[in-house]
Amino acid sequence: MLLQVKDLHTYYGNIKALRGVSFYVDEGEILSFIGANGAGKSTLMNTLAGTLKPKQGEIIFQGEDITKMSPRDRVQKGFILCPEGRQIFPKFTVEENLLMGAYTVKDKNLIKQNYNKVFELFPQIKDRQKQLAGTLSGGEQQMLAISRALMSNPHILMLDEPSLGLSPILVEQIFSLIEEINKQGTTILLVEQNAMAALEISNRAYVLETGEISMTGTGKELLENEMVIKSYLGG
Amino acid sequence: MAKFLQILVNGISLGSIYALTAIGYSLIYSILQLINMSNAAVFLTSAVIFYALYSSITAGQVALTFILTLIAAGALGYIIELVAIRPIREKGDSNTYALISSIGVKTILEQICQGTFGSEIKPFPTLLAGKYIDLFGARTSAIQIIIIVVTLVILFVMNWYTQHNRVGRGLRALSQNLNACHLMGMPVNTLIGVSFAVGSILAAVSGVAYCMYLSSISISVGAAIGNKAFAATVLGGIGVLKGAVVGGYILAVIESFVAGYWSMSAMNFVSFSVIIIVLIIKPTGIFGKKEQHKV
Ligand SMILES: Nc1ncnc2c1ncn2[C@@H]1O[C@H](COP(=O)(O)OP(=O)(O)OP(=O)(O)O)[C@@H](O)[C@H]1O
Ligand SMILES: [Mg+2]
Repeated sequence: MLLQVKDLHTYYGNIKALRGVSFYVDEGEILSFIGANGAGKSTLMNTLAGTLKPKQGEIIFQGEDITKMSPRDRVQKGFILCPEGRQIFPKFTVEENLLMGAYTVKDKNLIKQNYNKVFELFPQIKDRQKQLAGTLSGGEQQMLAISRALMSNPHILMLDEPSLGLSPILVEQIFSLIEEINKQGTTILLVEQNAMAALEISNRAYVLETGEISMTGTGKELLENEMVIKSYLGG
Repeated sequence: MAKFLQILVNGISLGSIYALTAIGYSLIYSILQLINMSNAAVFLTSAVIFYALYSSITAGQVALTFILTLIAAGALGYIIELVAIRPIREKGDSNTYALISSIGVKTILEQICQGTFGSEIKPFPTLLAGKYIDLFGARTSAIQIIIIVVTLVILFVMNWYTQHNRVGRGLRALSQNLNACHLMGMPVNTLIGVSFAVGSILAAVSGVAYCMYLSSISISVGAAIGNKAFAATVLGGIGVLKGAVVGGYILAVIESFVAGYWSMSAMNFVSFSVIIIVLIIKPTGIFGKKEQHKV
């Protein structure tokens, strides 16, 4: 088990957004969370990344309790979130954005190596290294956001709604790139409203409903589950 | 012509002093949307530290005193953030509390300065006292030229650092998206502390330079220049570093011309009228943009 999460509770003031979420992630998996708007998916991701503090519960990464660690320590341990809405640095060039993603990496050669690696994955942004990120198209910005996260050399890459607002062709492209990143050895934790696409590439998945896990299974099982079809696959 | 040039040089040297202090206000505002009122007190405290060192431990050594003062100012800025701002920030409390906390720091520093330094005007060491440089017929004092040159060098170095250095770039990243900086694993707290240190060092250069220019020091210098520098920040567009610099120079040059061709007493009246007019036309200042609310 690479990551184990036990009974996570997160609040916004008095509002309970997570009500005891428990799950695990195995090495090399693509694991996804699906759920409706406001189910608590982003809350879960931000709690895992450390920008939200849980009121209760434990996060164990490679046998170590990281529940109280700073986001920075988590990134250094190989745990990074590519957030919902991209959150790239708009006034920075593509190159500068990538360098920010590598802020925790000391080894200059490794930075260079990762730099070239992300351009192999995302040739579209390679020609735009000197362009301001704020002027990229939505799809390019998403690719940049994923690339920036990859610059930290993550062990687990968390992706919060990477397909949000993209055209169907781009969605397809992003999902196949996520599979490619996974094949190259990165464990993926994926949050999606596009349940169909997410389940198709996932080894396992959890359904999140008002801050609680209501269902789990392999991607295939959930794709065939009646409840899931009815609620999330537009069936 | 000679008079014109001389007044212009006066304006530019005073503008350098405004600009350096204004950068501190703008830098911290750009990152935290906080008006750090303690900046003006750091200006004063640094000048007092310089005076205290120079009249005791490092007597007669201007360069060494200057360097020690800058180190002390940097440490002071970092500590102010650590003690008075960070705890409020981390609780996620409103910026109003941080603002009040910074006013508290300002008051405490001013009290300490008053208690240790006293309230009389004292002579301040200067550089090349009595030396003048003939600039196309204009008699400008050497210290003015030194202040202008030093400021330009500082602006140039800062610009380079924020473009090419990891930490400098990190500060620019903070002003764009603090949350993303956390997510990228950047040492956000340390960098915010550094931004306070940088602002304080610039205020210290400004404070020492101003007292050298006057060849005297009194505890009222901080408030006088602090208010002007803050006004300059707003004029240029708070949160935009280049705005702080441009605002500082514009304000000082206007003041200098009003004082030179009209009267000293009309100076503040005219300069603040200009600020008010600019803000009525463009409330965000010369370079400021409308705040974009993050979704
Ligand atoms: N900053 C906040 N303050 C107060 N409540 C919040 C905040 N952010 C989220 N919430 C609430 O917490 C719950 C979970 O929100 P969250 O953003 O985690 O949902 P989500 O599953 O990511 O939704 P979406 O699919 O729309 O992104 C929602 O009820 C939301 O209103
Ligand atoms: Mg969300």
